[in-house]
Amino acid sequence: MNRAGLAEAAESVIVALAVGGDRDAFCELVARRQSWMRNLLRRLCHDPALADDLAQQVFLKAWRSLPRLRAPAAFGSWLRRLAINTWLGEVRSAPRCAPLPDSDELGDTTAFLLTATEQLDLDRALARLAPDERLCVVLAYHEGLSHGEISAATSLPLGTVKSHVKRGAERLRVLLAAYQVPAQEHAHAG
Amino acid sequence: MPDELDPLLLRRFAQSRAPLADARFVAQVEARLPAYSLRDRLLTALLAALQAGLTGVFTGIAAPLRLRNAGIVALAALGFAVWSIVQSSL
Repeated sequence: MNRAGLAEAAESVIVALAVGGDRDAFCELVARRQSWMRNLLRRLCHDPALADDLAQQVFLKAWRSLPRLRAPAAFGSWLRRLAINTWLGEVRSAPRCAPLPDSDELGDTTAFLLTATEQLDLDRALARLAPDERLCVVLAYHEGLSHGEISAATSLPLGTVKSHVKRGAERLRVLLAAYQVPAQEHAHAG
Repeated sequence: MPDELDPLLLRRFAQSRAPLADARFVAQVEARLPAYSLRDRLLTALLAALQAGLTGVFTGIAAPLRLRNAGIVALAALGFAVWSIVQSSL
C-alpha cells in the first residue's frame, strides 16, 4: 500500500501492516499518534524538549516491539503503557522528570508571569506533584481513564490510584489558584 | 458509575490538549528507525510458525482430556494396554 493509501486506511489495517514490518505503515502510525503522545508526555514532564525526546524513544521501542503485539486493536493502550514505562524509567534513572522543589513554587514569579499561559500554569503545577501522583492525575484528567484502567495501566493498587487522583487534584487546584492570584494582580497593575 | 472528577480541572486539561502537528518530529523518528532486516522478518515468521505448531500439539494432547469421562476412558485404555502386554507375554 502506498503512502496516500495508508493515510486513508483504518488504524487497525495500518497496525497489522506495521506488525509485519512495513516501515511506511509505522511512519503513518507515528504521524497519527505523535500529537497525542507528545501531549501526554508534556503533561508528565515539565520540559517540552524532554517530552519530545521521550516520545521519540517510545516510538522507537514500539517499532522494535511491534512484532510481539498480539492484539492490533489494543495498539493505543499498548502504546500508552510503553509511554508510561519509558517515562517511569526516565524518572527513576535521571532527575529530569523529578518533581520541582517546593522552594521553586512561586520563585521568579515576575519572569514566569510575563510569559504565563494556562498551559504553562498547568504543566508547572503538575511538575510539583510526586511522580506517581502526577501520573495518576494525568491519566485520569488528560487521558480520561477510569481508576480501574489506571490501575491496570500502571500496576498500582486501585486504592492507591484513587488516593493519588484525589490528593493530586486537590494539590493541583491549590497550586493553580496560587498562580492565578498573582497573575491577576499583575494584569491589574499593568 | 464513572469516577468523579473536578470539572474545572477537566476544562484546564482539555484546553492543554492542543494538536501538535509537526512533520519534523515524524521525520526525526523515521530517520532513527533501525532497518527491519530480512533476518528479523524470517526470525519473526519462524517464531510464529513454531508457536502455532506447539499450540497445535498441545491442543491435540489436551483435547481428549477435556472429554466427559476422560478419566474412565484413560483408565480403560491403560487396563487394555496392560491386558495386551500380559496376553502377549504368556
